[in-house]
This record gives sequence, structure tokens and C-alpha cells, in this order.
Amino acid sequence: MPKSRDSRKQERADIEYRERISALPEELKRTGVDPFAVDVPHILEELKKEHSRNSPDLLTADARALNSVSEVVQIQDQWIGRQLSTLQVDPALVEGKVKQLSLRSLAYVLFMSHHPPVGVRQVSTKRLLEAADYWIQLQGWGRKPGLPAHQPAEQASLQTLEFSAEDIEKEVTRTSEYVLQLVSEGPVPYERVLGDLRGEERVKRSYNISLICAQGLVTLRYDPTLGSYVVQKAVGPPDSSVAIKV
Amino acid sequence: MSNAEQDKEEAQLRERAMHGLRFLLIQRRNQPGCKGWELKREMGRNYLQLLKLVGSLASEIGLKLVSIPDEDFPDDPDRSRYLLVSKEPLNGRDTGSWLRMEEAASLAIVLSHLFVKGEVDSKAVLVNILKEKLPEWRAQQILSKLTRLGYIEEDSGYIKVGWRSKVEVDRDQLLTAILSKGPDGDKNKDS
Repeated sequence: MPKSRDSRKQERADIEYRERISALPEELKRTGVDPFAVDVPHILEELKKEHSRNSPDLLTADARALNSVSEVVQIQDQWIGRQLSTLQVDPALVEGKVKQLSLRSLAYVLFMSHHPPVGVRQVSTKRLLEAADYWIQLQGWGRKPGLPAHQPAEQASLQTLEFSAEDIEKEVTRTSEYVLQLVSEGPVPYERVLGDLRGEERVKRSYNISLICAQGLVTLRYDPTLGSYVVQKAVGPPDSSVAIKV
Repeated sequence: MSNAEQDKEEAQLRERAMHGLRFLLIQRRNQPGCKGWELKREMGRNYLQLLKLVGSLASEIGLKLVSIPDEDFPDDPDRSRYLLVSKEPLNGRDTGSWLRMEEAASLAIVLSHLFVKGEVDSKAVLVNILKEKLPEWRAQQILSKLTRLGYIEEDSGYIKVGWRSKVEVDRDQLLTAILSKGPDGDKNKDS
């Protein structure tokens, strides 16, 4: 005989109740709450009421719930055992004492009750020899580590760029107009923005591009297909700086 | 059984127990000690009886044999972990600084709280307690480190006593030491 809508609804509710009971042991273990907060006699009464129903799903849920109830009773048993076998202290008393003690005293208290595990580690002769080889291969064995020797750059490669405040402003305005026009239709390779400029002029333009980037007008993005940086219109806040060889 | 046979059997048992003690002492992996099934393989089927003898041999050299039941199979001795710990607490000078002072203090606070609250409590409650002694970021950092070291375990916002604390920290000794600790500034009691 097909079941009525009400009986199906009732069955679902009964199964749900049993599933909640099935989850109880895990919940008790996880949260550590007093297992005697679970009213086992009441649960058993409830399970007894619905026991006559003839539904495989309900019977399965019923069996699981009963199993969980037995687990809850086991947890209660363990709880009593633990409470009886260990020193019982008022939590408020411990809390008050902890508040009074300094960090140093609390650390000392831990050391007083700490029994560290004991074990012997061994290193084979082969591993020792490997380690010795490794250290001997390293340069500077037995010496203090230091920075590599400084190699002075050739005088010819060093030049001082001279800018006045007005010059910079003019240069930056000019460069930004040029660059913005270039990137208006899409990203442009960084090399193309620098163009054929050489020496002092090339360095000046790259410096100006860095200032435009810092203003947030354009941005640089590494294009893996080209293997180089491209300049494009900026979106969002200015980027962080990146070192590029010019 | 003659006396000679009895002596021989005792010597054999003692030798097997010594073998077990050596096996327990030598650390093969990151975690100290070994599993029950490993001892069974080394010492034979009656290893549980022999472990009593191992315990007394360990006691002679100032060590204590402890076992940690497996979480999923707590009643199976073969799956338990067995290890040796120091019988008496050692001071910081003996063991080196395996924890910083504020980390050791935080562990004492957390464990004392968990021991009197049924071994589990929410992380938020513990952070609030630690905040009375340390900045919140440091409290969070220390809880992460203690979790990583196995002194505490975190599960869905709840903290419980970890396996290392169960083995290394004597609950009753810790609570007694906290309750009997003199007021700060009493230097004689710390030394």
C-alpha cells in the first residue's frame, strides 16, 4: 500500500532524529562537553516509540542510533573513570592562580612536570663522509663568510646625469604624451618605447618611463611569449618597481 | 625444572627484554619510540609480558616506559605507540631550550585549562586566556607552533590535549605545581 504524504514526512523526521543521535559520540569527543548532558533514557524512550514502523531506511537509522547510544554510554563510563582516577581541582582556582603567575613562573611550572622522551639517534659512517665531502667542497671552509670582492666599474661607463626640476617636469610631460599615444592601441614592447636612443638619452627616457609608471599612467607587464616587458595602459593603483636592463 | 634451567630461562628473558629496551631507545623516525607490532616482531608474541621487564630495566637507568593507545583502535596494544621518557622532570639547562619561555608558559596555561575542563575547549576561549599575558598575534602564533609540535591538537575550532602532552607532561604534577607555586618574586622557589 503506498504511503501517505504525512507518513512519509513523519518517516523523514524520524530518520533525521536518529541521524542526529548517530552524530552525538563524535560531537562529544570533539567538543569535550560533559557526556552526562545527553539524556540517554529519554533518547531510548523516543527510539522505542517508533520501533514498530516497517521501513528499511528507518530500521537502519534506528540501528545506527542505538549503536551511537551505546557509544555515548561508553564515553560516560570513560568520563567517570577519568574523573575518579585523576586529581580533581576547581577550575576557578587554577584560573586564578594562572592569572597571578608571571610567564617565567609558568614556564618553570611546566619544566617541573615535563618528562621529555628519550631516544638515541645514529648517523652512519657513509652519511658522515658525505657531509664532510659537502663541507670541504664549499669555498671558505673554516673561514668567516664574506661578500664577494667588489669589482670597480670602468670609468668610461660612469656618467652623471644632470637634471633640473624644470627639465624633469618637461621631460616627463613629453615622454608621457609620447608613451600614452604609443600604448593607446595596446601593449607595446619596452624596447620599442626606448626606440633608437643610445647612451644618456636612453637612460633618461627609461628614467622618465619609471616616473610615469609610478604616477600610475602606464604599467609594465612581463610577456612570456615575447620574453620581454611590454608597456600598457595602467589599470588600478601604481605597480611596485621592477629592475630592467636598458 | 632444575635451577640451572631456570637460570638459563631467566637469562634468556632478560636478554630479550634488553633487546626490546635497545630497540625502544634507538630512534628511527621523527616520532620517538615504536609501535606495538614492531615490538612484537622484535621480541615475540609475548612481548606485552616482556614489556613489564623492559619497564623495570628502563627504571634502573632513570627512564619510564609509556604507551599511547591508537586513537582509532584504543584497545589494540599492537597499534599503540611505546616510548621511553625521563622518569624525573629535567630542568631547562639539562634539555636545552626546546621552547622559548613564553611558549613554555603558554603551554602551561593551555594544558592547565584543558586538564580541568575535560581536555577539550574552544580555541577562542584559549586565545582569550592567553591574551591576558601576551598580544593576540603572539598567542595565535604560539598555538600554531604547539599544534605543529603535537602538544595540542586543533579540530574545527576546538583545541584538545595532543599526544605529546599526554606522554611528556604529568597532569597531576602540573596542576599541583601551579597551585603550590609561590607568588612571583619568590626567587627561592624557582631555583
